Amino acid sequence: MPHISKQKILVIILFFVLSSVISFAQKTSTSILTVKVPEALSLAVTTGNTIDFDFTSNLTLLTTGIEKLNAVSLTYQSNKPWFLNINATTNNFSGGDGANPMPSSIIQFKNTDGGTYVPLSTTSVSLSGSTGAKNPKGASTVGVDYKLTPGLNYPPSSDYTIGVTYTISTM
Amino acid sequence: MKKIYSAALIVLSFIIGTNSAKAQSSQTSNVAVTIATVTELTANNTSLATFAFATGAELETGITQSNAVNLAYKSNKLTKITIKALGTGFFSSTAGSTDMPVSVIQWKKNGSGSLIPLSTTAADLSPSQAKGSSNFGVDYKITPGLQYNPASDYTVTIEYTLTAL
Repeated sequence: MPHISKQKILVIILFFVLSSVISFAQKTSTSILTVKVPEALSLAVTTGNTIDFDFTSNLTLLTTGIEKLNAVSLTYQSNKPWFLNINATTNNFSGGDGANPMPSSIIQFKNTDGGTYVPLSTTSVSLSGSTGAKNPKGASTVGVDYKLTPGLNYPPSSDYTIGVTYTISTM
Repeated sequence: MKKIYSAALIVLSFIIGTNSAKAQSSQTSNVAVTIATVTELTANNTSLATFAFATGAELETGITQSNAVNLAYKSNKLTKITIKALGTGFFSSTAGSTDMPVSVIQWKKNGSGSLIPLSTTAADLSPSQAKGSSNFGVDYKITPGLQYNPASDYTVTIEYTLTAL
């Protein structure tokens, strides 16, 4: 059996110790990131909470009508395709003569972006897009033009009011 | 007879003299030491807290998590740490066909720099680190916007790589 000096044994031990701690010059670590995205759908009347149509200054306007372009501005947000409907909250205006109420149909509306005026009713109808033709996702505004033509069939009153509902939907 | 004793003393003296010469001896050996490059990197948070958006406004303005993950490193060489996504988009089994890209994620080293969109290309998160051991946090901001389908299971894996320079 060959003689092995203490120094040689020490060198051999050091070699194995150092070999055991060799590691690579590059290391990686990972983390997983999770995100929950809810359905985001919102609609707000940003201008035109109250629109005042005053026919007292020019009575001929009762028959020709008063038009207010972009009278209402609606701000929406949706991360799904959407459409927007409009309807009157009641069949008739409040105020005036209860026996001869002024119907919601004297109000005509259209989208500021185009189209033709449509009489307002309590039936929800399209203001922008529809169930079968939804608008793309995103956030922006929709303008509403109004034209009111009361005619001469309703008694004078300064307190005619009616509510209008705007509904955004992704269904 | 005197002559015999004298000869024996001379021989003993010679033997003793020879042993005295062996009482000191020196040898040399080379001690070879190999110090390998040591690099260690550990993310303390392998699953980050969920970025749970509640409103459309949050989706548009984004949610920030400071120190969302802490990276501890150790090396006996100058090193750098890079960051990248393991995939171009989030995975979701419920979101449908709209793929949310990883670029909605922005990152930065906590306490320095500005937010940078994440991609599959490795970018320098910490471009030069002295030898030794230390740690730092990573901030994330996610801004999905309104273009991606609602889902509660969007996930993506982010990889951090420590490299000896």
